[in-house]
Amino acid sequence: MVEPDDSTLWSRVRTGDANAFGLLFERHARTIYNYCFGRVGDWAAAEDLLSIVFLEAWRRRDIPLPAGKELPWLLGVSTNVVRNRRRSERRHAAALKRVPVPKPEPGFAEESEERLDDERLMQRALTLLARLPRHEQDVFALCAWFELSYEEAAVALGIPVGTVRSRLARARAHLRELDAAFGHELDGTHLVKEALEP
Amino acid sequence: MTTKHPLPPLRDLPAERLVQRKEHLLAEIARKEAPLARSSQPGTLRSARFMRRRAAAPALAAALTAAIVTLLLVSPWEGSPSLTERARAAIGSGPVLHVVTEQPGSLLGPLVDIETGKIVPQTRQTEVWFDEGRALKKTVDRLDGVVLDEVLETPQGGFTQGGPLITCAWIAAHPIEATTLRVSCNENMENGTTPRQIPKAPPTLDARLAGFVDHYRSALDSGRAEEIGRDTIDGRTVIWLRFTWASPSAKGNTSSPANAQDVAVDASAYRPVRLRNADGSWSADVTVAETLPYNAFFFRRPEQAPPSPASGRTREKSPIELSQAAAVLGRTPLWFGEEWRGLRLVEVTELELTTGYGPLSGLEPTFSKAVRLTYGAEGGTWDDGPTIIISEATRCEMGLLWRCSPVGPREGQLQEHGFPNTAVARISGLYLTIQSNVPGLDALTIARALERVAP
Repeated sequence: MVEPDDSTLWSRVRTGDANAFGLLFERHARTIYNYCFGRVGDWAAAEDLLSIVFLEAWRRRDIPLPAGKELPWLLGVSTNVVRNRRRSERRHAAALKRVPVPKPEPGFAEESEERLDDERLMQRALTLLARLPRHEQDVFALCAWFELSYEEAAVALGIPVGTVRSRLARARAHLRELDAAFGHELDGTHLVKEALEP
Repeated sequence: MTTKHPLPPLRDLPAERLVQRKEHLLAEIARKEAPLARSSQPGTLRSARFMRRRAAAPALAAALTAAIVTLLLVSPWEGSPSLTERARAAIGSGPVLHVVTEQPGSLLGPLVDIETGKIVPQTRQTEVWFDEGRALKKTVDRLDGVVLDEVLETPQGGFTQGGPLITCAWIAAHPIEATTLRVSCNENMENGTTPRQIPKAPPTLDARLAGFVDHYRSALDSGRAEEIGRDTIDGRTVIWLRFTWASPSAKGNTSSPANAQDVAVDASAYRPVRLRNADGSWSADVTVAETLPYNAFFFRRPEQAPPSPASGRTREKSPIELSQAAAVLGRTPLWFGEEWRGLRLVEVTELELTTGYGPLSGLEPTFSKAVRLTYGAEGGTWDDGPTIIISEATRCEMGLLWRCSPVGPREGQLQEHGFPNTAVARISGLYLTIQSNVPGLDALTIARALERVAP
């Protein structure tokens, strides 16, 4: 008894099956939401980016994907959406305006302070990460923070596996060179430091 | 993929917000997919830009409208109730709609014969039984006659060839089973033990088929189906009918555009033979369109299929000599020689591949070996300059980005991949994955240049 795998769903999505796409959304929304947060350090923005990522994925649904690589591909779409955030938000501005105003969520409110802390730490970590070349940031975020395998990151970024490995090694080396003092929990840079070792 | 990482803890959107976002997403998709009522000549595809320009040219639009009106006025079938009645009768009035559509398609990119360079045509077929009153839908997706996917959706949940269709709604209703299956919609993987209900949308159709299913019959009934011309499809004369309907989001908003689709009905049998969005953005051949009395047989659960590979992983081992590659593969590998197009063979690597079958299949992972040949500049990498990477295995390997489907490339065929710079091919009994970032060099040229390593 197993669920239809992502590739089965994607196969249906390619024929225009919106329900299958809805299932993919249910299945991967959390990962994409958190990944987007990890790249922008803003939960509210991550929520909108989540919508944009799936709208972009639908727009590109003609793309055939290798079996089992649908989530890495979605993370690749997310990477592009985040990289071109302003353009993405502009393109989907009308759709974002139609997002219903969220109802108050008691549990959500209780969590809001923790979420603010997350944002503060994440934004500082991202400030440090921003000192790397963009393609190294992408590999670092995917492999070191989100623990994608080299193969999955290769799929996400459309590059060979060996290139993922070399970019990640360079990213780690650059981060070590940047500032020997970083790594404090208070300023969020520990999020980078803890991910430095393979 | 694991979820343990040094970032702040993963957080969920509250369930209602998630549902809200999903509904918004599906509404936006429906909005985008809704075929706008823009006029186009029968049998003619127009780009969106062209259609926008034309919409912005009222004089031309007026002229076209006048032309269509004139055409309708002089047409022998204009205003003929018999045409729409016959088209309506050809569909029938049973509660179960049965539609089969076909269009060119493939699992990955186009399939190409390596020797001739010609595209091997493949046909994607979608068969749907839909009973709106009973909220039942069965969809069978085939490629060249091979069933790729079969899904039954019911008010009690969905079923596939692999078992129940597991959604957050199913997990909420089956917490214990879901825990056994190691699936959860909660961050902490806890499903609890008490079944509960969360919103679940009733089955709906592909947005493009939905217009046909929901509105074609009613348009014929109400006389809103408009005849827009004649055409010839596969040697037979057809009559194009256009039917329009208001967008769901346009309730109470008369300024919203209507949706429109065209149906080509056989001029003698009046059965639909082709369906297209009026703006030309999509079309499919209709091989069956009928309504039938309810029969439980149509909505039987899909037969369980044997477990198929669910995942593939690749581990690079140490570089090896080319002379060792044949022993690793158990077969003579393919290469370009020591140098090709200025690129040198810089590395041969042994790969260890693992194929998994999913935790519930009862099958253990299987292991196999492959080799990878890298051509490029000495000491350079993919980021540094032109590089070609050929991965070779003796069977279909998901770890090498193969789809492993019975409708994949056969011996002597190549298929472009969904990912940039990647293609898969079968040559000399080997399964190859080709990756190249060499500008202007296509995968077909690369595949044709490969030859067996001389013993």
